[in-house]
Amino acid sequence: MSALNKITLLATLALLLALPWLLDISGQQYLLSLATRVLIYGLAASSLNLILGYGGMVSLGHAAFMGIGGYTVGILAFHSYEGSPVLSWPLQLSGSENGLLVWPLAMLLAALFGLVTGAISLRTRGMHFIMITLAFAQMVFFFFTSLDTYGGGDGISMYNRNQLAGLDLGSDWTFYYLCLAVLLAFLYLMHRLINSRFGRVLVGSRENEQRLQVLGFATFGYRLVSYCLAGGAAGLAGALLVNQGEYVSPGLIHWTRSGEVMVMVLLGGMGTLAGPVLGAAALLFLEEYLAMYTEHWMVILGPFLILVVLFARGGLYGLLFDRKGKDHG
Amino acid sequence: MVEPILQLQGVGKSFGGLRVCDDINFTLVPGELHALIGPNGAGKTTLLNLISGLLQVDTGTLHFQGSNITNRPIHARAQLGMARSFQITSILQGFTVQQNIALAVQSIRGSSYRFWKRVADDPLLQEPAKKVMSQMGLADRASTPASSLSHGEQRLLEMGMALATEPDLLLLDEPMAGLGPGSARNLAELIDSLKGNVTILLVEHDMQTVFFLADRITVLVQGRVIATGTPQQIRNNPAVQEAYLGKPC
Repeated sequence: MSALNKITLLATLALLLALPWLLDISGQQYLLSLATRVLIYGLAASSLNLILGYGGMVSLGHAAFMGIGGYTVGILAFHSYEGSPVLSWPLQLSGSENGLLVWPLAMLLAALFGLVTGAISLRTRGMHFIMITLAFAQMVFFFFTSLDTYGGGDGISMYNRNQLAGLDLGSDWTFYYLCLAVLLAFLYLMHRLINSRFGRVLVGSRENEQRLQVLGFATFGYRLVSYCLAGGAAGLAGALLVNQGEYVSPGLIHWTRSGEVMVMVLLGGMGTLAGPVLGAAALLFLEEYLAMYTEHWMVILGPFLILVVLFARGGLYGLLFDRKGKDHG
Repeated sequence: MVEPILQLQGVGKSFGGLRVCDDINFTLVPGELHALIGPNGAGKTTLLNLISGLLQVDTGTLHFQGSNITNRPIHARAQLGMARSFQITSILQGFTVQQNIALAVQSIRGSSYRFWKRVADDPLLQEPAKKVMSQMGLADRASTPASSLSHGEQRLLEMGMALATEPDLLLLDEPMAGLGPGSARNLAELIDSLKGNVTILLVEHDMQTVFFLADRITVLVQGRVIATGTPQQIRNNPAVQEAYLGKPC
């Protein structure tokens, strides 16, 4: 990492750490929830980046993972209020609002969904892969829409956020720092992964899968594992998002959500560590600000996205920094 | 008689109505350099694809190192000790030279389901990679992206990746294609130096090189083996002369 990049990194970290204070001083506290949303979407986009940017798997079903994670939080909270069991057979499972239990479960279920759907969809390539991941996500969307117990299309409202080891997640400050910690931890793990043996095989199979097979790598397994990992991380993003809004509905799994997360990756720069977070920030802030001036904000956002994709192939990250960091986080 | 390292029995392959390989039988004995020659469209590359698993045979069986590999996938054949280079350069363009070779080394050095340790700091991968790079004369290009290499250097990298997997059987598909005379001679010398340590099946158009390097030669014409033998036998074989030079008037 060059000295300039190191300075940029430290400055960014300092800014993110000081952000709640800065917003407080400048009297713009309302932006803190937007900043938190950027962090959560940054996590979702980064997890998609693992398979899309580094693995070359163009998935249009990422919202399904977020939905499964989000509904895990919602459903367990719902049963916790009611005092009714989530499952009574084959094992007794009661509701819970304990984040230490619910969030890992959200990740596990999302990763399991990734294992099952990935085992099928990763046998396809290109347009077929896009379509089959979209189809699985739509199945999840209609599944939750049809669950009348859990509000059907209206979803579940929560009374409060989950508990997490004595932290007061009800405080927006605490919740912001928690999301920041989760995002940074994930980015660090991903940085290690990309530069590990596993990561080399993953990136290699994006570049030239047949060559990797001829070298003796069973690429399918590596792609499937990364698909599950990305799914688990997106599940956590969904769980955080539902906690922030204290509300979950099938809207979380709508296919436009998958598209939005994909746009964040493309806009920020796929195959770069920080790019997708940058993309999430740019997209969410643009939405927010343009919407203040005109309700037809999409008219401005659309052409902007097209310009970035056409003229900045490395996304915003590529525009702002050198491209040498590509693939090596 | 030595146990063959590779054995093809009655191998056939059709694309639609076109019979590309027809009832091909041949064996490779360990350590030999066996050249596969034939006019354009004879099915040489197809045969290499059938052996390495990129294509599935329609008929016949393949045995490698004593096990039946007819229905084994590409990577399983590679893990048994088979490596190949491609006629059309197939390297990881976005990787540096050293990354390309280190990845090839990685395929034979334990599990790649390791998520934490940096590959770049792993002497188990980088030391063998450096050895291969200097063997191929690419040592000073170690951190150059493969996409910025000259065509000749890319051919060397292609070959280096195959060698880095320390194969028992090396399938070389026109390794000299597009090389200048100097580089071609260097590569021929390199292949010559490998002889004896590794079994090589070489597809090559340049007859001078073939006759210089090969222990045995198999001639393929329109998907059929018309002759197998020592260079001397092949040179004097009337059927081969006819295939290459046309029917004498």
